[in-house]
Amino acid sequence: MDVQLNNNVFDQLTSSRDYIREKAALAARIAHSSDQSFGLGWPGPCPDENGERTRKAALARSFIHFVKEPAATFMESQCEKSLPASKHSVGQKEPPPAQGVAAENMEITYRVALSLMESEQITLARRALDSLPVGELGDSLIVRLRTMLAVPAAKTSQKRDIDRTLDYQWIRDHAQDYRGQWVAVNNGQLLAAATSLRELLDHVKHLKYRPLLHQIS
Amino acid sequence: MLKTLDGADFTTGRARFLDEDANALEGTAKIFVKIEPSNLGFPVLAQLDTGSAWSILKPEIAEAMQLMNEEGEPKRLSTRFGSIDGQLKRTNITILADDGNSIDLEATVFVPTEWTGGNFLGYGGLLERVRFAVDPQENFFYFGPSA
Repeated sequence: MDVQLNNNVFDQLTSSRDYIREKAALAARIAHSSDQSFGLGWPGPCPDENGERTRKAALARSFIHFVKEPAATFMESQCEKSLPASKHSVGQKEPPPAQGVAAENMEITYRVALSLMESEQITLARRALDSLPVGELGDSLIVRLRTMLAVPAAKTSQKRDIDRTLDYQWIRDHAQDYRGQWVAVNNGQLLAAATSLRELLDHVKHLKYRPLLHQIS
Repeated sequence: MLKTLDGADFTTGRARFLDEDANALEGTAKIFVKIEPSNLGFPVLAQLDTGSAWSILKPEIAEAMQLMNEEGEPKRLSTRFGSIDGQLKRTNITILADDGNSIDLEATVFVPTEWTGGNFLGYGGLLERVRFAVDPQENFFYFGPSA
């Protein structure tokens, strides 16, 4: 079975990091055991509903446990055969083994989380990132991805708007006349229309009340 | 406001929604709710779309929110308009209530580089922490924060 990595993310790995690519490919084989390519799932057809998606999710979950394993275990042994003769180019300083392994695992986990996010498997991407040791959560790329994937925080607010029924009616009645324009409506009355939001804001920013802004598509 | 079977609050606010977009090319009814993106200062409409992985904000709105200079995560999103490039951004959005309480959300939204569609409230990064219900008879959108 050949799993194709069609995700550019993996292609960005430098040649000296080919062994990481091998590990990522292995991860892809584990998480996606069918002949579908890994990552960027949007161009392909939706998985069928007869349990295929569930099965894939379970496999991906198993991978998340897999990346949590110590580096000397399964993943290392499986990659050993396909590793290049030297992991590092000549003259390149090799990091201490433990540090190097941690960096490898972090990079693999990051790539996998990114790929899961690209294929809209947000929960699994979060779990992949959560599998990282606390000490590796400070990396800037990891921090950014964790921030974007964080569950939203919601709290009540005293802020309140007015009933816009009249404004909705205005939009229904007059949309044909304002195609492509931004409009500001309040209490069923058009206050301003403009070709850009910036221009519209210039018209309404000094008002004491807050009209509804809408672009007629 | 709506209650759970054991009497606890299920939602905390409600607002009338626009249930059609007369100008929409596709022409079928949709649910448009009122939101106020942070720093914009005015309400705008966003289509409720639980089938969308991410929420989408029009680039002009993101610019007005001063969101374009914020660091984001590059992403390509598949939509019914085709694949679009943009960035995921973390920001604050308020779902506005006419009655009861609004809710402030710290959420992740997708800001396309170019986009002729509208604003969307998707499940991932936003609606996943919002309780909501729809009364299609009265056009009320009930909502509240999920614990």
